[in-house]
Amino acid sequence: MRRYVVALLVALTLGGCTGANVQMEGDIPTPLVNRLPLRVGLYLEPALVQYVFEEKIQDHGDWRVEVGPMQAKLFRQVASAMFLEAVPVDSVAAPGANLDAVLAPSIVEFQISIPSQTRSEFYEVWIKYLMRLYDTQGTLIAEWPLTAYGKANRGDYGFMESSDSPAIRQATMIALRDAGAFLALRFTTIPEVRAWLNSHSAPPPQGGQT
Amino acid sequence: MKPFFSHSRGWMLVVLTCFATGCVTTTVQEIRQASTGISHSESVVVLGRHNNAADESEDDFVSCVSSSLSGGKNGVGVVTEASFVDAMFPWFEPRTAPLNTSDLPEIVNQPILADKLNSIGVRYVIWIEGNTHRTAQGGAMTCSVSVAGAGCFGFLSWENDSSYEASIWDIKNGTSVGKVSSDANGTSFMPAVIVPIPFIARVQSGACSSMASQLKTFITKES
Repeated sequence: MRRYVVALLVALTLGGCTGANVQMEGDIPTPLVNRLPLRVGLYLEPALVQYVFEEKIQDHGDWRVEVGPMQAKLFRQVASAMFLEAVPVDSVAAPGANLDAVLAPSIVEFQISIPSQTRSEFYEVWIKYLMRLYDTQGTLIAEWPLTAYGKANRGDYGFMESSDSPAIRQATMIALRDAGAFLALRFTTIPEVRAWLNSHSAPPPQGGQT
Repeated sequence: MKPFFSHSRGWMLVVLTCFATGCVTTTVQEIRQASTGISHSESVVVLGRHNNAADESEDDFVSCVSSSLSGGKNGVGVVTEASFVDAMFPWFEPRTAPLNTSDLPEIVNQPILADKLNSIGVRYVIWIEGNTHRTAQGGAMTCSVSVAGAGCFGFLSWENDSSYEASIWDIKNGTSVGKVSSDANGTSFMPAVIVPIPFIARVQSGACSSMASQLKTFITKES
Protein backbone atom coordinates (compact mmCIF):
# COMPACT_ATOMS: atom_id res chain seq x y z
CA MET A 1 0.00 0.00 0.00
CA ARG A 2 2.82 2.35 1.02
CA ARG A 3 4.54 1.64 -2.28
CA TYR A 4 1.43 2.74 -4.18
CA VAL A 5 1.19 5.98 -2.19
CA VAL A 6 4.84 6.82 -2.96
CA ALA A 7 4.35 5.93 -6.63
CA LEU A 8 1.28 8.16 -6.76
CA LEU A 9 3.16 11.09 -5.21
CA VAL A 10 6.07 10.62 -7.65
CA ALA A 11 3.64 10.45 -10.58
CA LEU A 12 1.87 13.60 -9.44
CA THR A 13 5.17 15.44 -9.03
CA LEU A 14 6.50 14.39 -12.43
CA GLY A 15 3.08 14.84 -14.00
CA GLY A 16 3.55 18.59 -13.89
CA CYS A 17 6.28 18.34 -16.54
CA THR A 18 4.63 16.03 -19.02
CA GLY A 19 2.82 18.45 -21.37
CA ALA A 20 0.26 16.92 -23.70
CA ASN A 21 -0.03 14.72 -26.75
CA VAL A 22 -3.35 15.41 -28.43
CA GLN A 23 -5.07 13.56 -31.25
CA MET A 24 -8.10 15.49 -32.43
CA GLU A 25 -11.41 13.68 -32.54
CA GLY A 26 -15.04 14.61 -33.04
CA ASP A 27 -17.17 16.06 -35.78
CA ILE A 28 -17.68 19.48 -37.28
CA PRO A 29 -21.39 20.32 -37.65
CA THR A 30 -22.78 21.26 -41.05
CA PRO A 31 -22.99 25.06 -41.27
CA LEU A 32 -26.48 26.53 -41.63
CA VAL A 33 -25.81 28.85 -44.56
CA ASN A 34 -27.35 29.32 -47.99
CA ARG A 35 -25.34 27.58 -50.66
CA LEU A 36 -23.70 29.69 -53.33
CA PRO A 37 -24.52 28.40 -56.83
CA LEU A 38 -20.93 27.44 -57.52
CA ARG A 39 -18.97 24.26 -58.22
CA VAL A 40 -15.77 24.66 -56.29
CA GLY A 41 -12.66 22.52 -56.12
CA LEU A 42 -11.10 22.16 -52.69
CA TYR A 43 -7.33 21.84 -52.65
CA LEU A 44 -5.97 20.70 -49.30
CA GLU A 45 -2.19 20.82 -49.41
CA PRO A 46 -0.23 18.06 -47.64
CA ALA A 47 1.20 20.60 -45.16
CA LEU A 48 -2.33 21.34 -43.97
CA VAL A 49 -3.60 17.77 -43.87
CA GLN A 50 -0.52 16.46 -42.06
CA TYR A 51 0.02 19.46 -39.79
CA VAL A 52 1.32 18.66 -36.32
CA PHE A 53 1.97 21.40 -33.77
CA GLU A 54 4.94 20.76 -31.48
CA GLU A 55 6.37 23.01 -28.81
CA LYS A 56 8.48 22.55 -25.74
CA ILE A 57 7.29 24.88 -22.99
CA GLN A 58 9.90 25.53 -20.35
CA ASP A 59 9.07 23.71 -17.11
CA HIS A 60 5.84 22.40 -18.62
CA GLY A 61 7.02 19.66 -20.96
CA ASP A 62 6.38 18.87 -24.59
CA TRP A 63 3.11 19.84 -26.25
CA ARG A 64 1.98 18.14 -29.42
CA VAL A 65 -1.32 18.57 -31.25
CA GLU A 66 -2.11 16.48 -34.34
CA VAL A 67 -4.52 18.91 -35.91
CA GLY A 68 -4.02 18.10 -39.62
CA PRO A 69 -6.76 15.48 -40.23
CA MET A 70 -9.34 17.55 -38.34
CA GLN A 71 -8.47 20.60 -40.45
CA ALA A 72 -9.14 18.55 -43.57
CA LYS A 73 -12.49 17.44 -42.11
CA LEU A 74 -13.34 21.05 -41.23
CA PHE A 75 -12.71 22.51 -44.67
CA ARG A 76 -14.49 19.64 -46.47
CA GLN A 77 -17.54 19.99 -44.23
CA VAL A 78 -17.74 23.78 -44.46
CA ALA A 79 -17.09 23.93 -48.22
CA SER A 80 -19.73 21.29 -48.91
CA ALA A 81 -22.30 23.45 -47.07
CA MET A 82 -21.17 26.75 -48.63
CA PHE A 83 -21.25 25.73 -52.28
CA LEU A 84 -23.56 23.84 -54.60
CA GLU A 85 -20.75 21.35 -54.97
CA ALA A 86 -17.30 21.06 -53.44
CA VAL A 87 -14.98 18.44 -54.87
CA PRO A 88 -11.44 17.56 -53.83
CA VAL A 89 -8.77 18.49 -56.40
CA ASP A 90 -5.05 17.70 -56.59
CA SER A 91 -3.86 21.12 -57.60
CA VAL A 92 -4.95 24.76 -57.56
CA ALA A 93 -5.30 24.59 -61.34
CA ALA A 94 -8.09 22.30 -62.55
CA PRO A 95 -8.79 23.33 -66.14
CA GLY A 96 -10.87 20.35 -67.29
CA ALA A 97 -12.84 19.70 -64.12
CA ASN A 98 -16.00 21.75 -64.90
CA LEU A 99 -15.47 23.94 -61.85
CA ASP A 100 -16.02 27.63 -61.19
CA ALA A 101 -13.06 28.09 -58.85
CA VAL A 102 -10.65 26.35 -56.52
CA LEU A 103 -10.47 27.13 -52.80
CA ALA A 104 -7.10 26.47 -51.17
CA PRO A 105 -6.57 26.99 -47.44
CA SER A 106 -3.08 26.88 -45.96
CA ILE A 107 -2.01 27.08 -42.34
CA VAL A 108 0.32 29.92 -41.43
CA GLU A 109 0.58 29.70 -37.67
CA PHE A 110 -0.65 27.66 -34.71
CA GLN A 111 -0.04 28.87 -31.17
CA ILE A 112 -1.08 27.69 -27.75
CA SER A 113 -0.86 29.11 -24.26
CA ILE A 114 -1.47 27.33 -20.98
CA PRO A 115 -2.75 28.78 -17.68
CA SER A 116 0.64 28.78 -15.98
CA GLN A 117 2.08 30.92 -18.79
CA THR A 118 -0.64 33.56 -18.79
CA ARG A 119 -1.66 33.33 -15.10
CA SER A 120 -5.22 32.97 -16.27
CA GLU A 121 -7.71 30.12 -16.03
CA PHE A 122 -7.61 29.37 -19.73
CA TYR A 123 -5.89 27.10 -22.22
CA GLU A 124 -5.87 29.09 -25.45
CA VAL A 125 -5.31 28.26 -29.12
CA TRP A 126 -4.79 30.64 -32.02
CA ILE A 127 -4.71 29.48 -35.63
CA LYS A 128 -3.97 31.64 -38.63
CA TYR A 129 -4.87 30.40 -42.10
CA LEU A 130 -4.31 32.00 -45.46
CA MET A 131 -7.27 31.41 -47.74
CA ARG A 132 -6.81 31.59 -51.50
CA LEU A 133 -9.39 31.41 -54.25
CA TYR A 134 -8.15 30.57 -57.75
CA ASP A 135 -9.85 30.38 -61.10
CA THR A 136 -9.65 27.05 -62.88
CA GLN A 137 -6.49 28.12 -64.72
CA GLY A 138 -4.71 28.58 -61.40
CA THR A 139 -4.83 32.39 -61.43
CA LEU A 140 -5.30 33.94 -58.03
CA ILE A 141 -8.70 35.62 -57.58
CA ALA A 142 -8.52 36.49 -53.89
CA GLU A 143 -6.31 35.95 -50.88
CA TRP A 144 -7.30 36.76 -47.30
CA PRO A 145 -6.26 35.79 -43.77
CA LEU A 146 -8.59 33.71 -41.61
CA THR A 147 -7.77 33.87 -37.92
CA ALA A 148 -9.34 31.61 -35.34
CA TYR A 149 -9.36 31.49 -31.55
CA GLY A 150 -10.47 28.96 -28.99
CA LYS A 151 -10.18 28.65 -25.25
CA ALA A 152 -11.01 26.12 -22.55
CA ASN A 153 -11.46 26.86 -18.86
CA ARG A 154 -9.07 24.94 -16.61
CA GLY A 155 -11.84 24.70 -14.02
CA ASP A 156 -13.87 22.49 -16.36
CA TYR A 157 -11.18 19.79 -16.42
CA GLY A 158 -10.37 19.11 -12.78
CA PHE A 159 -7.12 19.88 -11.04
CA MET A 160 -4.94 17.02 -12.25
CA GLU A 161 -2.21 17.63 -14.84
CA SER A 162 -3.88 14.93 -16.95
CA SER A 163 -6.47 17.61 -17.75
CA ASP A 164 -3.97 19.28 -20.10
CA SER A 165 -4.74 17.07 -23.11
CA PRO A 166 -8.56 17.30 -22.99
CA ALA A 167 -8.41 21.05 -22.35
CA ILE A 168 -6.06 21.72 -25.27
CA ARG A 169 -8.16 19.41 -27.46
CA GLN A 170 -11.30 21.38 -26.56
CA ALA A 171 -9.60 24.77 -27.13
CA THR A 172 -8.33 23.53 -30.53
CA MET A 173 -11.79 22.25 -31.47
CA ILE A 174 -13.34 25.60 -30.60
CA ALA A 175 -10.68 27.38 -32.68
CA LEU A 176 -11.38 25.07 -35.65
CA ARG A 177 -15.11 25.74 -35.37
CA ASP A 178 -14.33 29.45 -35.15
CA ALA A 179 -12.36 29.19 -38.41
CA GLY A 180 -15.25 27.34 -40.05
CA ALA A 181 -17.75 29.90 -38.75
CA PHE A 182 -15.87 32.90 -40.11
CA LEU A 183 -15.14 31.20 -43.43
CA ALA A 184 -18.81 30.36 -43.93
CA LEU A 185 -20.18 33.70 -42.73
CA ARG A 186 -17.63 36.11 -44.20
CA PHE A 187 -16.69 34.51 -47.53
CA THR A 188 -18.86 36.80 -49.63
CA THR A 189 -17.77 39.92 -47.74
CA ILE A 190 -14.17 39.63 -48.99
CA PRO A 191 -14.06 42.47 -51.58
CA GLU A 192 -12.16 40.49 -54.24
CA VAL A 193 -14.48 37.50 -53.79
CA ARG A 194 -17.56 39.72 -54.01
CA ALA A 195 -16.26 41.38 -57.15
CA TRP A 196 -15.52 37.99 -58.72
CA LEU A 197 -18.96 36.67 -57.77
CA ASN A 198 -20.61 39.70 -59.38
CA SER A 199 -18.59 39.25 -62.56
CA HIS A 200 -19.19 35.49 -62.53
CA SER A 201 -22.97 35.92 -62.72
CA ALA A 202 -23.36 34.29 -59.30
CA PRO A 203 -24.08 37.30 -57.12
CA PRO A 204 -23.94 36.65 -53.39
CA PRO A 205 -27.30 36.41 -51.62
CA GLN A 206 -28.59 39.62 -50.07
CA GLY A 207 -27.31 40.09 -46.52
CA GLY A 208 -24.12 38.11 -47.00
CA GLN A 209 -23.50 34.42 -47.20
CA THR A 210 -26.77 33.48 -45.65
CA MET B 1 -37.56 25.84 30.18
CA LYS B 2 -38.97 23.81 27.32
CA PRO B 3 -38.90 26.67 24.76
CA PHE B 4 -35.26 27.37 25.63
CA PHE B 5 -34.45 23.70 25.16
CA SER B 6 -36.19 23.62 21.75
CA HIS B 7 -34.47 26.83 20.73
CA SER B 8 -31.03 25.55 21.65
CA ARG B 9 -31.74 22.21 19.99
CA GLY B 10 -32.68 24.10 16.83
CA TRP B 11 -29.43 26.00 16.89
CA MET B 12 -27.54 22.79 17.52
CA LEU B 13 -29.20 21.28 14.45
CA VAL B 14 -28.12 24.28 12.36
CA VAL B 15 -24.57 24.10 13.70
CA LEU B 16 -24.38 20.35 13.08
CA THR B 17 -25.77 20.75 9.57
CA CYS B 18 -23.22 23.48 8.85
CA PHE B 19 -20.48 21.34 10.31
CA ALA B 20 -21.45 18.37 8.17
CA THR B 21 -22.01 20.17 4.86
CA GLY B 22 -20.68 23.70 5.26
CA CYS B 23 -23.04 26.68 5.45
CA VAL B 24 -24.29 28.24 2.22
CA THR B 25 -26.27 31.48 2.02
CA THR B 26 -28.15 32.07 -1.24
CA THR B 27 -29.91 35.16 -2.59
CA VAL B 28 -32.03 35.13 -5.75
CA GLN B 29 -33.39 38.19 -7.53
CA GLU B 30 -35.65 38.51 -10.53
CA ILE B 31 -36.38 41.29 -12.99
CA ARG B 32 -39.34 40.77 -15.28
CA GLN B 33 -39.54 42.78 -18.51
CA ALA B 34 -42.32 40.92 -20.29
CA SER B 35 -44.85 38.18 -19.76
CA THR B 36 -43.81 34.59 -20.29
CA GLY B 37 -45.31 31.15 -20.69
CA ILE B 38 -44.35 27.96 -22.43
CA SER B 39 -46.36 25.26 -24.21
CA HIS B 40 -45.65 21.54 -24.08
CA SER B 41 -44.21 21.61 -27.60
CA GLU B 42 -41.74 24.37 -26.73
CA SER B 43 -38.41 24.13 -24.95
CA VAL B 44 -35.61 26.23 -23.56
CA VAL B 45 -31.84 26.13 -23.98
CA VAL B 46 -29.30 27.25 -21.40
CA LEU B 47 -26.13 28.68 -22.90
CA GLY B 48 -22.92 29.89 -21.26
CA ARG B 49 -21.51 33.18 -22.49
CA HIS B 50 -18.01 32.60 -23.86
CA ASN B 51 -17.14 36.00 -25.27
CA ASN B 52 -15.91 37.50 -22.00
CA ALA B 53 -13.31 35.46 -20.12
CA ALA B 54 -13.84 37.33 -16.84
CA ASP B 55 -17.52 36.39 -16.59
CA GLU B 56 -17.41 33.01 -18.28
CA SER B 57 -19.43 30.40 -16.44
CA GLU B 58 -18.20 26.92 -15.65
CA ASP B 59 -19.56 24.18 -17.96
CA ASP B 60 -20.85 22.18 -15.01
CA PHE B 61 -22.90 25.15 -13.74
CA VAL B 62 -24.57 25.55 -17.13
CA SER B 63 -25.29 21.79 -17.27
CA CYS B 64 -26.57 21.86 -13.69
CA VAL B 65 -29.08 24.65 -14.44
CA SER B 66 -30.08 22.90 -17.65
CA SER B 67 -30.74 19.52 -16.01
CA SER B 68 -32.44 21.11 -12.98
CA LEU B 69 -34.84 22.96 -15.28
CA SER B 70 -35.89 19.76 -16.99
CA GLY B 71 -36.26 17.78 -13.77
CA GLY B 72 -38.69 18.02 -10.87
CA LYS B 73 -42.42 18.59 -10.66
CA ASN B 74 -42.80 21.49 -13.12
CA GLY B 75 -39.92 20.55 -15.40
CA VAL B 76 -39.75 22.26 -18.78
CA GLY B 77 -38.43 20.87 -22.05
CA VAL B 78 -34.71 21.56 -22.32
CA VAL B 79 -32.40 21.28 -25.32
CA THR B 80 -28.77 20.72 -24.32
CA GLU B 81 -26.23 23.43 -25.03
CA ALA B 82 -24.08 21.19 -27.24
CA SER B 83 -26.93 19.96 -29.42
CA PHE B 84 -28.36 23.48 -29.85
CA VAL B 85 -24.99 25.06 -30.74
CA ASP B 86 -24.25 22.22 -33.18
CA ALA B 87 -27.69 22.48 -34.78
CA MET B 88 -27.34 26.27 -35.15
CA PHE B 89 -23.68 26.19 -36.26
CA PRO B 90 -22.10 28.69 -36.95
CA TRP B 91 -24.50 31.25 -35.42
CA PHE B 92 -23.99 30.56 -31.70
CA GLU B 93 -20.22 30.13 -31.56
CA PRO B 94 -18.28 32.19 -28.96
CA ARG B 95 -17.44 34.96 -31.46
CA THR B 96 -20.61 34.86 -33.56
CA ALA B 97 -23.38 34.47 -30.97
CA PRO B 98 -25.81 37.39 -30.67
CA LEU B 99 -24.84 39.69 -27.81
CA ASN B 100 -28.11 41.61 -27.63
CA THR B 101 -31.69 40.98 -28.60
CA SER B 102 -31.17 43.60 -31.32
CA ASP B 103 -28.96 40.99 -33.03
CA LEU B 104 -31.76 38.40 -33.06
CA PRO B 105 -33.66 39.60 -36.16
CA GLU B 106 -30.60 38.81 -38.28
CA ILE B 107 -31.01 35.21 -37.19
CA VAL B 108 -34.75 34.66 -36.85
CA ASN B 109 -35.57 36.46 -40.11
CA GLN B 110 -33.52 34.05 -42.20
CA PRO B 111 -35.74 31.22 -43.40
CA ILE B 112 -33.04 28.55 -43.08
CA LEU B 113 -32.42 29.51 -39.43
CA ALA B 114 -36.07 30.10 -38.58
CA ASP B 115 -36.92 26.64 -39.91
CA LYS B 116 -34.20 25.08 -37.80
CA LEU B 117 -35.35 26.93 -34.68
CA ASN B 118 -38.91 25.76 -35.33
CA SER B 119 -37.81 22.17 -35.77
CA ILE B 120 -35.82 22.27 -32.52
CA GLY B 121 -38.76 23.93 -30.77
CA VAL B 122 -36.68 26.33 -28.69
CA ARG B 123 -38.76 29.25 -27.36
CA TYR B 124 -36.41 30.72 -24.75
CA VAL B 125 -32.64 31.14 -24.82
CA ILE B 126 -31.17 31.58 -21.35
CA TRP B 127 -27.71 33.14 -21.30
CA ILE B 128 -25.68 32.48 -18.16
CA GLU B 129 -22.85 34.75 -17.03
CA GLY B 130 -20.85 34.66 -13.82
CA ASN B 131 -18.75 32.18 -11.91
CA THR B 132 -17.67 30.87 -8.54
CA HIS B 133 -14.38 31.94 -7.02
CA ARG B 134 -12.52 31.69 -3.75
CA THR B 135 -12.68 34.90 -1.77
CA ALA B 136 -10.71 33.94 1.36
CA GLN B 137 -8.67 31.09 2.74
CA GLY B 138 -6.71 30.42 5.89
CA GLY B 139 -5.12 27.85 8.14
CA ALA B 140 -2.30 25.41 7.60
CA MET B 141 -1.88 21.69 7.18
CA THR B 142 1.19 19.50 7.15
CA CYS B 143 1.28 16.03 5.67
CA SER B 144 4.14 13.60 5.87
CA VAL B 145 4.95 10.11 4.62
CA SER B 146 7.47 7.89 6.39
CA VAL B 147 8.20 4.20 6.75
CA ALA B 148 6.03 4.27 9.88
CA GLY B 149 3.02 5.57 7.95
CA ALA B 150 1.42 8.70 6.55
CA GLY B 151 -0.69 11.40 8.14
CA CYS B 152 -1.73 15.04 8.16
CA PHE B 153 -2.21 17.58 10.94
CA GLY B 154 -3.75 21.03 10.80
CA PHE B 155 -6.84 22.99 9.84
CA LEU B 156 -7.79 24.65 6.54
CA SER B 157 -10.75 26.85 5.76
CA TRP B 158 -11.81 28.69 2.64
CA GLU B 159 -14.73 30.78 1.51
CA ASN B 160 -16.29 30.55 -1.95
CA ASP B 161 -18.54 33.10 -3.57
CA SER B 162 -20.87 32.42 -6.49
CA SER B 163 -22.43 35.16 -8.56
CA TYR B 164 -24.46 34.30 -11.65
CA GLU B 165 -26.94 36.12 -13.84
CA ALA B 166 -29.32 34.57 -16.37
CA SER B 167 -30.74 36.68 -19.20
CA ILE B 168 -33.87 35.17 -20.71
CA TRP B 169 -34.64 35.86 -24.37
CA ASP B 170 -37.90 35.02 -26.05
CA ILE B 171 -36.51 33.93 -29.39
CA LYS B 172 -39.98 33.71 -30.96
CA ASN B 173 -40.64 37.41 -30.35
CA GLY B 174 -37.00 38.54 -30.43
CA THR B 175 -37.22 40.22 -27.03
CA SER B 176 -35.58 40.06 -23.65
CA VAL B 177 -38.17 38.97 -21.08
CA GLY B 178 -36.16 39.29 -17.90
CA LYS B 179 -33.19 38.42 -15.74
CA VAL B 180 -32.63 36.14 -12.77
CA SER B 181 -29.55 36.48 -10.60
CA SER B 182 -28.32 34.01 -8.02
CA ASP B 183 -25.62 34.77 -5.46
CA ALA B 184 -24.34 32.31 -2.91
CA ASN B 185 -21.46 32.15 -0.49
CA GLY B 186 -20.24 29.67 2.05
CA THR B 187 -17.25 28.54 4.08
CA SER B 188 -15.69 25.09 3.81
CA PHE B 189 -13.23 23.67 6.30
CA MET B 190 -10.99 20.67 6.67
CA PRO B 191 -9.58 19.64 10.05
CA ALA B 192 -6.92 16.95 10.01
CA VAL B 193 -5.67 14.74 12.79
CA ILE B 194 -3.87 12.02 10.84
CA VAL B 195 -6.78 11.83 8.35
CA PRO B 196 -8.11 15.09 6.79
CA ILE B 197 -11.91 15.32 6.94
CA PRO B 198 -13.37 17.86 4.49
CA PHE B 199 -16.63 19.71 5.21
CA ILE B 200 -17.44 21.26 1.86
CA ALA B 201 -19.92 24.11 1.43
CA ARG B 202 -21.62 23.36 -1.88
CA VAL B 203 -21.78 27.00 -2.96
CA GLN B 204 -22.02 26.54 -6.72
CA SER B 205 -24.59 23.79 -6.31
CA GLY B 206 -26.67 26.07 -4.07
CA ALA B 207 -26.53 28.88 -6.63
CA CYS B 208 -27.53 26.42 -9.36
CA SER B 209 -30.56 24.96 -7.62
CA SER B 210 -31.80 28.41 -6.55
CA MET B 211 -31.39 29.83 -10.04
CA ALA B 212 -33.02 26.83 -11.75
CA SER B 213 -35.95 26.91 -9.36
CA GLN B 214 -36.51 30.63 -9.97
CA LEU B 215 -36.09 30.27 -13.74
CA LYS B 216 -38.65 27.49 -13.81
CA THR B 217 -41.19 29.70 -12.04
CA PHE B 218 -40.27 32.68 -14.19
CA ILE B 219 -40.81 30.85 -17.47
CA THR B 220 -43.86 28.76 -16.63
CA LYS B 221 -45.76 31.45 -14.72
CA GLU B 222 -47.89 33.21 -17.32
CA SER B 223 -48.03 36.85 -16.24
